[in-house]
Amino acid sequence: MKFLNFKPLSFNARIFLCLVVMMSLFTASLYYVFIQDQKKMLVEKHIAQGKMMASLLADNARLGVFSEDEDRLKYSVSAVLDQDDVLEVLVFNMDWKLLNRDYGPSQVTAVSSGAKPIAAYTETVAAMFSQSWQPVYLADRDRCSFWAPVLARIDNRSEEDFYFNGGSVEPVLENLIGYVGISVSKDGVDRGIETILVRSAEVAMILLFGGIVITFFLVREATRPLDRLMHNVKAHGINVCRDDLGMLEDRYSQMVETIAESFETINDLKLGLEEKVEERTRDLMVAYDELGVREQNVRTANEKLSKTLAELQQTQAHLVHSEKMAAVGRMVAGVAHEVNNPINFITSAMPGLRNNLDDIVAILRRHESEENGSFKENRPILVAPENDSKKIVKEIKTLLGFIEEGARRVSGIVTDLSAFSRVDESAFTEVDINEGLDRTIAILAYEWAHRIEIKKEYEGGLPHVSGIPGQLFQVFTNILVNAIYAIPDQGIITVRTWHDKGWAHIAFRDNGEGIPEDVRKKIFDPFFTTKPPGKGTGLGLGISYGIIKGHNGEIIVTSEVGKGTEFEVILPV
Amino acid sequence: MKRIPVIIILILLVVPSVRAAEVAVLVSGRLNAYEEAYNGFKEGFVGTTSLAGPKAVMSNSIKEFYLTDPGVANDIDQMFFDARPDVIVAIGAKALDRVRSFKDIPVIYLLVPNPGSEILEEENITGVEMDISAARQLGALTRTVPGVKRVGVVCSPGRSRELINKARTYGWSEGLVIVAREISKSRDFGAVLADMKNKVDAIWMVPDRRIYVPQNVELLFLFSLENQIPVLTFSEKYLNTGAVVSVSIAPYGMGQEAGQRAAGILTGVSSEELKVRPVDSSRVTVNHRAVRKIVAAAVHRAPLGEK
Repeated sequence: MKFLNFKPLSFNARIFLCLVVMMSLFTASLYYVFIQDQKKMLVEKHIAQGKMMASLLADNARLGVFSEDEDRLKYSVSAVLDQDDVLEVLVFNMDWKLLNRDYGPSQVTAVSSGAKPIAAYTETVAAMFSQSWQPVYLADRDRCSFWAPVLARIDNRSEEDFYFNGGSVEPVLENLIGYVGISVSKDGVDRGIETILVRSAEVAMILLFGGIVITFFLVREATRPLDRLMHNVKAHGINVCRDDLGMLEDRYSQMVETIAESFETINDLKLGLEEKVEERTRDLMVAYDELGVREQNVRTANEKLSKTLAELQQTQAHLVHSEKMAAVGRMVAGVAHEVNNPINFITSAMPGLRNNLDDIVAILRRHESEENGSFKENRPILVAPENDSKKIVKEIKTLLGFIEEGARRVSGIVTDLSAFSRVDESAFTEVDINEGLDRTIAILAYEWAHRIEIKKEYEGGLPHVSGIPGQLFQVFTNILVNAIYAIPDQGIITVRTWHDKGWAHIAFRDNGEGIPEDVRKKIFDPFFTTKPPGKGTGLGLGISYGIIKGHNGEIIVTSEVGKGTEFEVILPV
Repeated sequence: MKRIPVIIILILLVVPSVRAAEVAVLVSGRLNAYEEAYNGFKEGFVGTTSLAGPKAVMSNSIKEFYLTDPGVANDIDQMFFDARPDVIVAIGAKALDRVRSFKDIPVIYLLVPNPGSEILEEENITGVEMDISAARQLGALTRTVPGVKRVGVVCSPGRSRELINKARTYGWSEGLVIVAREISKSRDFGAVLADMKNKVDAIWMVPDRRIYVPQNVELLFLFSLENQIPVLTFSEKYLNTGAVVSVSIAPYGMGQEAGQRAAGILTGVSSEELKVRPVDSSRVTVNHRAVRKIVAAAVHRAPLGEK
């Protein structure tokens, strides 16, 4: 394989050249073997055909030889003479007496070339047939001859066989009665061999050419990775010579050396690294222990935090309760104030009414004395009897009117309060927002009636909202309380309701101080309040936000410092 | 009524002394022709013995032996010696050859071509010969191929001479000319046949094995085909190879004739009647295919007998 190291050529070219040479040698060998085989087959076929022709001629000539009928022999021989390359046909009886001799069209050439006459072989053939009756093939330089014995059946039949069918069990015996010989030119075989040579050479050349083309493309495809590698090598600025494989070998050796050095370095580093790993491992163990301690601390802190959270939740509950109590307190204060007025109506009327009752009693007693004549003035009569009675009745009516008005007002307050009495219910019902707003405003009216004007801009026929009335009224109360608180002096609170696309909107706008931006972000945070300590829990709006969220609603706050604030509650219809 | 017991006693005393006749049939082999002849024999024998003779009160037994069966060829002499049959029937030449040694048992042969003069001289041997009369053969030829005038025949010197003479006698009366040629060598057959070309209207193939060796049989039918000359033959066997008409013996009828003879022997027929005689039964078979190919073509070519 040293030729593969032919340096001036690239690896592709060397492989291609090698394959072409091998293919050529293989084709030449195959061609040689094929030709030899074909020649052998052709000769064997020629001999087999010749022997068969001699056998057929012997069989055809059997009757002619038996009866030595020249005409019949000529007729039998004529079919053989029509065959190509047949030079001469001879028929002998068993004593080698020539019975028939005919020549084929090629005989002139054979004779002129000085070929040995076929009759010269008779002694040889006789000797061969004394051994066996198989057809014989003889050949010299220019022609060959085929010989076959002429056999006649021996009449070994029984007498019955002469008369009847199916009686003979005797084997058919034959007797030698003559010989036939056919001389054939070798030109036919030579022409056949020449044809095979030419045709085979043509096929071999075509196959070789096709093989070379295919090999070229195969080598090109097979070495494409090498080409890419060389291209990459060139791209790294390495000078590539024609001996690409040698260059790659050098580069590979260099790489191996580099890698070996790298491995040595890595081994050195590995030793130091192992030490470092051990050191780090020790550190990690210490850190792990510390982590355990910290984890324990964290667990303890978590427990404390959990405890604190529980306390905070308890505190939150207390605070919520305080908020509720504060709201209740405010409500009670409002209610007390509101109830106080009608009660004043009643209590103011009571002294007058009692006096009037005394007058009536005095009048009645006087009438009784006059009737009995025992009238005794115990108490002075303040009014004249007739005029006074009319006046008393009038006063009593007036006073009863006060009492009735006071009782009616108290009844109205109680009715309003009933809406708040359901604060703990949790079932969703249909809530009339406008009515709820009216009642909430009525309860809280004592705080703003003297300084705050309220404007109601309700949408008539606002759809009812599905919700818990007590919770919603608590939200309205909280918002209104904050609005009232935001107006330090005189002011206006506008309450507006409307609905749009399946949502009910309730807006509370005041023209108070407004909420700064930093505060507005925190107003819904629990415990955030701007009120002085003790005035507010900081849970009102937080709870309100939670209630509205619980109703799948939303609270939007818009505010401008110095101009006012608007809380818009949006609830699904 | 007193005579009845006496008659019964007399019968019982007499009957065992009257033995049933035994016929032994020795067959040369299992040819269809032999089987037909054997069946004809049984028919002829049984049909005859059931009507005549004192032994008719007993059923006669027929035992057949085939020489080709295992052991028969070796033991047949001992078997016949022990059995002492009343009649031996030999079917075929081989069977006849095997029973010639039994001089004291009547032997009837059949289907034996040319049994030989020494056989005919034996007093205990009789049979049915296979010779068919020339008149019957030539008559079949003229019926099949009307217009035949000249009939060629090739035979060995001396052999078939009697047959040919009878044919000539028949021909004179029927307007036929027998063109006979004698040859001493079978290989001369071709030349004689070639010489007969254009001289005969038909060839008569007589049963002469010395002439009709296989090659000459081929030559004869090749000659017949090439020259459109019909062949009259003695066996149906040669119809397949190109003969136009055959007049052959009928094995079944021949067997019947032999059976009647066997029955005659058992019933004491005179020796004069038991001489060998030609067969009465024959059959004519026509090869219509050959008639179409040879005779019809010859008619188109030239009228037969007018060459």
